[in-house]
Amino acid sequence: MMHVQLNKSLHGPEGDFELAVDLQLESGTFLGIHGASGAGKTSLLRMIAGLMPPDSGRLEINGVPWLETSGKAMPPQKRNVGFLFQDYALFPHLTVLGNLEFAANSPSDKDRIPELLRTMELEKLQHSMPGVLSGGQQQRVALARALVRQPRILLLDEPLSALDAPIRRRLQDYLGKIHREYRTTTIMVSHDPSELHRLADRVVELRAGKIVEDRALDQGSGEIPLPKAALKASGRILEIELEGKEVLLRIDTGAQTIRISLPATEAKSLKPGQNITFQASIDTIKILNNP
Amino acid sequence: MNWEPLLLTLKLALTTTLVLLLVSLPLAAWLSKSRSPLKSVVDTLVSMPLVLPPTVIGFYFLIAFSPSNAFGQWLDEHLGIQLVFSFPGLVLASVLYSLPFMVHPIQAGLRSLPPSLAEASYILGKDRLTTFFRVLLPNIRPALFTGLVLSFAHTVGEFGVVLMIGGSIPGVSRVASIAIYEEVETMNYAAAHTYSLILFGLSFAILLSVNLINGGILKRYWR
Repeated sequence: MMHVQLNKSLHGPEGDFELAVDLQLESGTFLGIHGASGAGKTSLLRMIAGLMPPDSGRLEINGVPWLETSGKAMPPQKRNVGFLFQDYALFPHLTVLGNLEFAANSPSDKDRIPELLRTMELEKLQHSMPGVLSGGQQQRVALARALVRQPRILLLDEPLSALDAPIRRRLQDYLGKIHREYRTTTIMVSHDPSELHRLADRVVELRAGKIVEDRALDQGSGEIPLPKAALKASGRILEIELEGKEVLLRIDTGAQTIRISLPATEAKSLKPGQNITFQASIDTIKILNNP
Repeated sequence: MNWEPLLLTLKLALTTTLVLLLVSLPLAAWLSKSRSPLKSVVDTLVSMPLVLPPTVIGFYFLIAFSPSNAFGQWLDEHLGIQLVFSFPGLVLASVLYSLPFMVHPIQAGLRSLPPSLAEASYILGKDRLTTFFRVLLPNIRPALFTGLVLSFAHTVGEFGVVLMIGGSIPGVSRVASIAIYEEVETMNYAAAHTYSLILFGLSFAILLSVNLINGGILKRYWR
């Protein structure tokens, strides 16, 4: 769970305004933020990453305070976030592999590099310098580099805005794949709402520093081939019934009440009233009616 | 042929360049980032040797460090340092005199880098010092090279400052430029020619190499 509560005076194209954001985010969520340029989207990401100090506020990730205006802010080095810059920010003097190795702070980080190169299809390019790569390739390197340290949060600042449509689409697929595989809490800023609708499970709109719309999206519905599809939802436990060696959870997801049965031994830490997220793999989807 | 003035020139230029590098890296890093009101003052002071006659620097240096003054006396008595008419004094004055030639290229180089480069390094867990040496400096190599070479060449070409605070003590402060002046004074044109021609050739070679390397022509051969 991530709690973001930040305030800052900013200068926008239409004069000064006050950014005031209060957000609760479940772990593993893909949050999309859209809004006109100058609405404070990038500033919000930079404050979460620790690159910009807010005027006041709080930042708490899984119970660990990152920032409290009264106390000392955790420096960006300690926050373990991944950040994708609009200009990729690859180190021009290092090869693709060198860029990834620079990010590794431990042997286990280093062990992750070959897998990331494979996932992002960069194996053949690993000895190239960033300067010779195309924009889409550079952004894939940047994404791989951001994932080397297994960040707790991945912050994407309009990462695809400099790319043209077909490459954008492919990068979106990469982002979706990465999110499904690593379940990293992701916050992506984009001025293009349709891009966010493809990827995010929750989208907020920022206007002059305030959240004016906050919507949960139903990701993945209508997709028929499902080699690796997963259901992900969150809700509140209403009731726990014991049925032999199994327990039956009744969960209120807001839209529907869902029943889940699981072995009683695995359910010891669950109590009614708790908010939970849950995940399941889906092998088929049936379309019941076409409107 | 007396090689001593030429060797002394090279020794002075090398020492000065090395000291300058150590001084200029933190100074240029601070100047390229700072928004403090003090910055303009420091920036101006660094640039002063570009416009000031070297004799002015030499004159104040002489006044500040002369053993007949309180400060100069204190340095001599307590630390045993004599900066006037000595090689260390010459190095110190040359460092001040060539400061803009080292600071400005590094400062400009650092400012030309996108801020996201350093930020990306911070986010990847690297502290400021690591970021500076492993990310920023390697990406301003041409600027660094320009600074090194220009400082070296500028120190080779020094005359006024040396004359003011070093005099012309053989082996201590009689550098090539001073030697040329003295040879001409004593109508010894042949010796003056030799020194001059060597300095001319050296300066030409140095500046040409900067242009070639930074112009990318030599990049294929020099990495």
